[in-house]
Amino acid sequence: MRIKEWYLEERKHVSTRIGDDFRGVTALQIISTVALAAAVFVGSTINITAYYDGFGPDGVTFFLIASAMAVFMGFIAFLLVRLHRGLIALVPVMVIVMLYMAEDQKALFGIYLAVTVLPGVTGAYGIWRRAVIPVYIAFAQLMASVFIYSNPIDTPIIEVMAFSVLSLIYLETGHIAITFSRVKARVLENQKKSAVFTRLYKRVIRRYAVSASEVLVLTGFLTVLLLRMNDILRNFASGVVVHSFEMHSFTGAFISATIGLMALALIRTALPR
Amino acid sequence: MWTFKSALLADAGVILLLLGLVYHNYQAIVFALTILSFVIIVGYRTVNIKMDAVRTVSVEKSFEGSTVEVKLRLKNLGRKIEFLEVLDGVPSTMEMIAGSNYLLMTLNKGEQFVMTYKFKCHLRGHYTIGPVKLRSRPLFGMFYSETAIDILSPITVLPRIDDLSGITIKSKYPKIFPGALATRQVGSGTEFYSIREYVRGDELRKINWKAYARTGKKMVNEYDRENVSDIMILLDSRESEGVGTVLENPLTHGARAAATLANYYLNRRDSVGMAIYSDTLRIVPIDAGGGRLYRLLDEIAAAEPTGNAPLNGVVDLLIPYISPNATVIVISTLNNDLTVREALRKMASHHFDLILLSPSQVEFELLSMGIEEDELYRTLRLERSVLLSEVRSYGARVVDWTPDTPIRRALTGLMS
Repeated sequence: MRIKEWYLEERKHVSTRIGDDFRGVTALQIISTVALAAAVFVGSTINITAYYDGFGPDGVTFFLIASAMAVFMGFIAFLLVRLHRGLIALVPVMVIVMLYMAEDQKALFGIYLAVTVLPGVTGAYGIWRRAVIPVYIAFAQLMASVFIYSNPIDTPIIEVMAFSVLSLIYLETGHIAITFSRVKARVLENQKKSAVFTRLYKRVIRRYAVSASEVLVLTGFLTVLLLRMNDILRNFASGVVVHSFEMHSFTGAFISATIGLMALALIRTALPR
Repeated sequence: MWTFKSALLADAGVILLLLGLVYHNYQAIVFALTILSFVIIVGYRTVNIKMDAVRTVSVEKSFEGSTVEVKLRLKNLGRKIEFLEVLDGVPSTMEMIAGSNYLLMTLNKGEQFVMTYKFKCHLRGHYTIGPVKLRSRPLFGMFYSETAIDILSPITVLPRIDDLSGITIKSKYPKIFPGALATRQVGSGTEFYSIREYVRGDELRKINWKAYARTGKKMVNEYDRENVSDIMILLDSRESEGVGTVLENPLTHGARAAATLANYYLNRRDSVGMAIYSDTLRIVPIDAGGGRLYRLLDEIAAAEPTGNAPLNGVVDLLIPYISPNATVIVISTLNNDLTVREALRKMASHHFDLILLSPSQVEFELLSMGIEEDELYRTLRLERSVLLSEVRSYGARVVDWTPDTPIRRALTGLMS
């Protein structure tokens, strides 16, 4: 059987309708979409706040322009993918072109916003069409979008953290929804023979939900800890170190966080599993 | 072990971190640190598998078409495994009919789980169930650890035995020992042969009282003499016998025929031997007695289509093992062997009662390829027909066996 035929056969077993007999996957898809929409919204808010000091009259105008452009670009992306699946590769090209345009025409702030909204379109397509590549492309777009923010240091850490964690939630739930939907085909086949499979599968999904929450909360804490590494070190250090340039500079914070990460990675390697 | 996804995320995190530093972009650094923290935390949750497994199999020996139930008890001796994939090795020729040999589960520390599945054995052979392959894929599929528990359960699938009751395959040269084969001669059998006048010394139980009442003369019943034969079954297991599908090929049919015939003759109290040739020759000398059938079936089960030993060489090696006047049943397509004529002629010259049961390779090939018969196949069929006629001329009884003919019907041709 050719890979394409196998893939199409696999897809037959997967329902994207809400309320089917296998709600686990659909629930994950919904969570992923909500997380993606929230990440895009937070990203846009950061931009609007940076430029217009919140949703003033200009901010609202540009937000509407951005949304219209995102929908338009999403429609173009959808048409391209309808023509051929491989044309999804053009979406990042569109982002690059728009970023280039944005450099020249700062006044067209709507384009800036559209770039931040575009991952929403790509990601939603990936989640609901069960295609892994668009999901990852959208994540890459989210990563790239942080470079179009201006006035970075003034942005509250909580907003950027929210953006990062929401992006991760989107990526992981989207990815796992696709993985589970593929496992589901096998489970559905097997559950005709025994109810054990469905019970086990449900238990795995529940376990996933609990563990995912734990991991994401821990990730948030660890990131804050790493970012505040210099503040913690200042409490323990004395003399020249406290007043050093590294303890107070952007580069210093970066070096401390990197050292902290490396130390954690080394401990992990040394610890028995 | 790292997966592609974890490597990709770690790479993305490091690149973003460096770009953030270069462009003094605070958001990029926060994003990068979040990604890297995530990778490290998931890494901390990766566990090595420490598992105990015990497998019980319902039967160690079964026949083709029978069902086998397997129970695999798993006990987690290590830390909690969030995402455990279990795959119990089952040969691909088995058809899973209940449960599954693959499961996805979560196992807490010290927790046990019994995995039960049933499969149907379609093809004879010596198989092994196992090892148990385990893969721990913690959350997000970013890191994994794999292990295999080497518990192996051997299982033998014996060839199917068809019912031949009501069929009588006679031997040309029965031995003088009493057995089950009626010889149409007066003897001490069980089947009625004739009636004659009583002579002094006849057993009283043989007197036919009804005839005595009717004629007034003492009459006694006479019975058929029933004897035993020596049977040597020669099964061709060369590579060319594997032509066709996995389940429908000359060797599969030949193996079933060999098993059916062995059972048939042993039930008749005949002595049966077996020789299977492929790249080697395996001989089970002619003998009778309890447990004989399983010894023969074990040998048949192990037959694989391999090698290309010439029949003539096989016959040279085999002749010392065959008693004079024995019945030799050759089960072979006779294909791809230039020594066939010489070998069969040699056996006929030793006065063996030669029976050739020949599955038609041409028909198997047509069946498996699903193609229309063309000139080439008509020529091959004609060649085969000429060869079989030649074998008949050596005094052999020949059965030209097509895939759609049941064994019972094919063997009916040997009754005359």
